[in-house]
Amino acid sequence: MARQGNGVSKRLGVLVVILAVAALALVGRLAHLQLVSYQAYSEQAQDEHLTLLTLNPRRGAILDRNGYPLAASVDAYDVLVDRKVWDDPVRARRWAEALADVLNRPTEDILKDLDTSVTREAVVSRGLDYQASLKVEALDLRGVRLVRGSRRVYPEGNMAAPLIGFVGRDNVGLTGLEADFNQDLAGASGSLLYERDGRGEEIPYGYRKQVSPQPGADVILTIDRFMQRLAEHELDATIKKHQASGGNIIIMNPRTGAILAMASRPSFDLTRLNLADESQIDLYRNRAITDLYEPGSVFKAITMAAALNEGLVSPDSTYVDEGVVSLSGWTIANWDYGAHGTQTATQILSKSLNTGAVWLSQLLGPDRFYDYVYRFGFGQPTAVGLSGEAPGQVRTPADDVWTEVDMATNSFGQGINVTPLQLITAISAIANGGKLMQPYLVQEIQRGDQRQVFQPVEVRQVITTEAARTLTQMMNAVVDGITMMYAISVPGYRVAGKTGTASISVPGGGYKPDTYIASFVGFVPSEDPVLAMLVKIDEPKDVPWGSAVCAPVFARLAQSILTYLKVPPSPEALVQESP
Amino acid sequence: MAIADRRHAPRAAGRPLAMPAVLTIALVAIAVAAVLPLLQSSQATTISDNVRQLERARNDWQARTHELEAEIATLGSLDHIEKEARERLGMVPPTDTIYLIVDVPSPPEQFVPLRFLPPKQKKAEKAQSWWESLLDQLPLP
Repeated sequence: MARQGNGVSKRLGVLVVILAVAALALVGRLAHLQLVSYQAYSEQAQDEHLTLLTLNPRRGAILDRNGYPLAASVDAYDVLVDRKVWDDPVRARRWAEALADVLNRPTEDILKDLDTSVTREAVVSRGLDYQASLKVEALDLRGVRLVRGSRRVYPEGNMAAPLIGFVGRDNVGLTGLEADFNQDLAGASGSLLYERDGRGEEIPYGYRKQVSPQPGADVILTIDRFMQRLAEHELDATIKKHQASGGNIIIMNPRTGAILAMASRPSFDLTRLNLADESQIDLYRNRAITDLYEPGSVFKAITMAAALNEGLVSPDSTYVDEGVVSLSGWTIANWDYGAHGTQTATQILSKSLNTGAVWLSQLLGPDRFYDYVYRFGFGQPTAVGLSGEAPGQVRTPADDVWTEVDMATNSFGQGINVTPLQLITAISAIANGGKLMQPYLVQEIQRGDQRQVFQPVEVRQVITTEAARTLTQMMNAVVDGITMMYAISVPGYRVAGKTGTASISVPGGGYKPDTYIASFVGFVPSEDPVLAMLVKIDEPKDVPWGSAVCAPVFARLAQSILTYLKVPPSPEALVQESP
Repeated sequence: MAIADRRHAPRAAGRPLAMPAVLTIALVAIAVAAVLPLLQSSQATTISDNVRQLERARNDWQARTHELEAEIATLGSLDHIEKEARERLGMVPPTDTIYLIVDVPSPPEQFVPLRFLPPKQKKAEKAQSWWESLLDQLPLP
């Protein structure tokens, strides 16, 4: 009996030990799961039960100065299919056929998307509009999910395309204002985390945490859609008429620096973008701020402004035009190769005499001349707030390669590179009593009830008010001199302006033969300007003169815009025009 | 006597309830306690479902509103207004040009290099009269 009892207790002891070891192993494993691998298993469990969705914000609109949308957003939907739910080929084909009708896509393409997707959910359609999204919802297909986003629409069509720019598929701005103000326009994404059931549906009483997306801010421009449209139509018509390669028209409020219209050609079609076409890339930039050109004779107004401000000349000061000026072995002639004899300072502008501009620059000397060039804003970005703005190229005495010929040619706008925006900004300073304003394109950013308003910024007083007024009268004489020939008058208003016909430099030195840039820059009404405008046409084929090609465009635009702005005609101008 | 006295003695005020009554109350309490969370859960589920339905409806209305805003903007675009003015209302752009006779001399002719001027039209040669043709045929010096 005793032996039997010992045997039982021994076997029991072994069993107890085995059970104890097993229990310890279990406890150890539990401890491992709960303490060591907790995070990994917790995440795995969450992945099984929880779904995290990104909620896309609505992108803000880009509006003109009167609140008309130039670019806006409508809701758009991406259609996602859960490949795990659609794992049965027969059922997947049947559902894909139903989806194909609504998405207007071949069934095979949808099935191909499912096969090639590397994620559990495959995107089978992007940017579906609201009505189509309702049709998808009505199908009530399992495993199909609609993700709400937004899509850009352009109510004014292709207006101001290089300025506005465009967004990519992910709604991030790629060019133009869309890129430069992306942070404001984009808004902030939200998120939705919820517990789902076995079918992937949200459990009604389950865990749910939502962070609402913050819609993007609206960006209100200084651009006026009426003026922009007029400018673009005139630019297109002029380019076509003169078989030109391109051009720019910029309209600015000289009192504030607000840009009212900025048209550039060649351009691209905003409403039919094809980002895969690499030949289009060259068209995406805003040439009014990125492209440099030699302004030609319009720059004589800057040289004259400096000379007047320094008290070196008055409108009636005279010099003898011998037709040419010889400097360091170079000969500079007038545009007409003529010698005009004794000429006044006013006639330097009205006859656009290169020799006269050289004379003025020599009176100023290099230091003062380039100081004014700088003070008028050349050789530096205007800080308009757009990326890619070129600073321009001005060779000064500080450069080793500078010679006195540089200053001579710079005085009539050759050998110096500027952007169209720099030029209109400088001329606006003359219209604004000598005060240079910083050009700007965005007047307000609206984020819900919050408003961020941009005020005009005065850069500096470049010339005195008196010098500006005198120069304005001289520029009136320029317009009077060419009015009868090219019919550029604006009935009822006095116009101050300057023509330009510039040679086009080529990389490596020299100029393109028989190819010019025609331009006209001016402001109206000259006694109290409300708009300054630059009309620039590149490489007109028939006639190169700024007075013939661009001045009539200025006149037509000014007439329409002054009527639009309800600017009353000046009594003096009306009296002068009365028969 | 003593027994008869106890039988007719008044019932004590703090006497415990009978077991069945206690059990019934306990069962009711348990049932209420069990049903209450169920009711709460059901109510919460219903409300939650309503909230989601309302959210969906709100999203739909927002989408519709955005579409209508875009439609209004397109209808108010300058191109559309011009198209309506031309096609529906039969309007045309103003073409009136007013010419004013100004009593001032015309400016001097501007010198322009010949290469930029349009080629001058050669004057058409005047047709010869019969007598000029006759003279041409005569052997005159």
